[in-house]
Amino acid sequence: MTIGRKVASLPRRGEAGPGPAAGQPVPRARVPAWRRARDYAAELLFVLPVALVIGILIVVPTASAVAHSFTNWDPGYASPFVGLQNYTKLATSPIFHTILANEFYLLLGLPLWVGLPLLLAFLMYDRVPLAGTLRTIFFFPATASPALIGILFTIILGPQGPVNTALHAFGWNSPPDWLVSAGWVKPVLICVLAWATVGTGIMIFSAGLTAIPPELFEIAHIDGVGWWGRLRNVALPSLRRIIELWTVILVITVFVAMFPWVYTLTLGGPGYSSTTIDYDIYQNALTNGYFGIAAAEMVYMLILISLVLLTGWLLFSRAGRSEAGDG
Amino acid sequence: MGKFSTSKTFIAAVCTLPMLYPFAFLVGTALKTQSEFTQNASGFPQNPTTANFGHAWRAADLGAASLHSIIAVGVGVVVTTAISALGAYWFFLHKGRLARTLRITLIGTMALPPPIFIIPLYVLLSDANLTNNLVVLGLVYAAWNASFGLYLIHAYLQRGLPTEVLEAARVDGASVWQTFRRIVIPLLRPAIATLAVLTFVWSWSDLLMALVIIQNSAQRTLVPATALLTNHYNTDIPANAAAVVIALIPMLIVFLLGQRFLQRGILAGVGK
Repeated sequence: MTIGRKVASLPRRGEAGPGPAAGQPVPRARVPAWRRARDYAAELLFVLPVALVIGILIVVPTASAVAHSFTNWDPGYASPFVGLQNYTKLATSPIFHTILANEFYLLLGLPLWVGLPLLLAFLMYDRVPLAGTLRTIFFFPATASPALIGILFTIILGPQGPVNTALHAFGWNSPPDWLVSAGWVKPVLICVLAWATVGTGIMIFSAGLTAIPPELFEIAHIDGVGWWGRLRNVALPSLRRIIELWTVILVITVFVAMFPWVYTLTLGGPGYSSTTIDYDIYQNALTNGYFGIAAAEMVYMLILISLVLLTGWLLFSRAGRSEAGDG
Repeated sequence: MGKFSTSKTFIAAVCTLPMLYPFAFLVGTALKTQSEFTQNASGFPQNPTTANFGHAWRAADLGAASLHSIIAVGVGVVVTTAISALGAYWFFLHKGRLARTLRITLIGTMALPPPIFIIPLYVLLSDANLTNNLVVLGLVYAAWNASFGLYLIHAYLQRGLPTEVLEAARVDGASVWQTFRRIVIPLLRPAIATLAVLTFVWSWSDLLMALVIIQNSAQRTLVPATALLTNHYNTDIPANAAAVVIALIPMLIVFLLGQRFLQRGILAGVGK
């Protein structure tokens, strides 16, 4: 057993640098093949659990969604093949157009979601005592359950909540009902998301800033470059890849992880003015029973994710090439 | 440059106020009677009462819901860390083309979010009579987190596990399992802690998967129970606030204890 393991793994050692016994010849021939096969089979028990759990609970259901998107899916009953009907229904549905428009409307929050943590991270970069504690305060909301934060904001933004009370006090006699106004609901969602994501952004950007040699900032400072100039001309270029990465994370969040926010804050309303694609998948399948349509929406979501990841990958590889070119 | 900047410190401190105020408001609201909230929504509670906590606790059966969350999230954390560590170690030992393809495929399932797999999974589980089952929900959390877990622990092994040590163990006659238990696991402790804290936070937060897999009110976990209570009890805002406080407390405790690991995990996720 022991010798078998040794032989089976010796060639791999070269990859991580030579070990103490690197010069010795490998006694491969002395180990019977059945023994190597048995050891390999025993080792498979290490990888089997994770492969089975992910395979059965994620890969199989995803494949099932794709397969059922071409049927009139009716769980428990026959699901006749309907070709692309679910896809064309969605593509010509004004409601689905509204949902996609909502998704892209929410993306207008990107400059805020990227810019705000960037400014705050740079603000706390140096000469701020207790910066770590301050970052912790920003970070907690980012780790708390979006559903719970959503409930909290229904109270804060509600007609009796502190926002409207304050606006009243400042003389606005009938402030809008933020979460049930078709005009306000999406800008308000953008602001709530800014509040909830700023802590993660600050953390990522702070880590990026500490990776920049501090001398760069000192030299700029000595040369009379102001705070804003150091942010624009020293920090921003060095943080470009992290900014792109954070943007990709945010775009994916908007496309796939809005459910708890919409469910607790607006229920998709008024009308469909704050419905997102993930919330609509849930509604179509579990409230309306349109499983086939929901499956086609899942595939549309998969396409959206692929496009975002592809764009991100192109950005990163382009950045990698230009960096290599510069070096 | 000076030692510290008063203006920067002041601005940064002021910027934390909008982060803190909602929580202060939440606790304040939870301590008010309904009539006090109607008259004085944003002020300091004049006659603090803890009645709302009991009210919310009973109305949404939050005691049972907490227990259900502990079971589902507990299964999720234990299974995620176990299968990720085992799998990552196998991928550390096996780097052939087939193993590499499998590793990239499994880690690549990170790109499949719950809205894509949870409904078809629910249909499959209903056929097998496995919905409304907290252990199954825990396994779903494990499947959802294990792709990241594999990535995290494999990267950690690649960086930190000296092959000489494994070699020495093998020469001493240790089996793969013994090497894993005695050498790899102790070395992996920080990575496993990071993964455990992240899995806890992400699973405890979950609403969508819990709502879909657990539709029977007797099995509900904490976050969906709170969300459904506040939908039904919209008029009793102080009780809603109390329910949110109750559901947030475990998250706050884990955040304060495991913050270091959380940060490390998220930074590892963005490749830092």
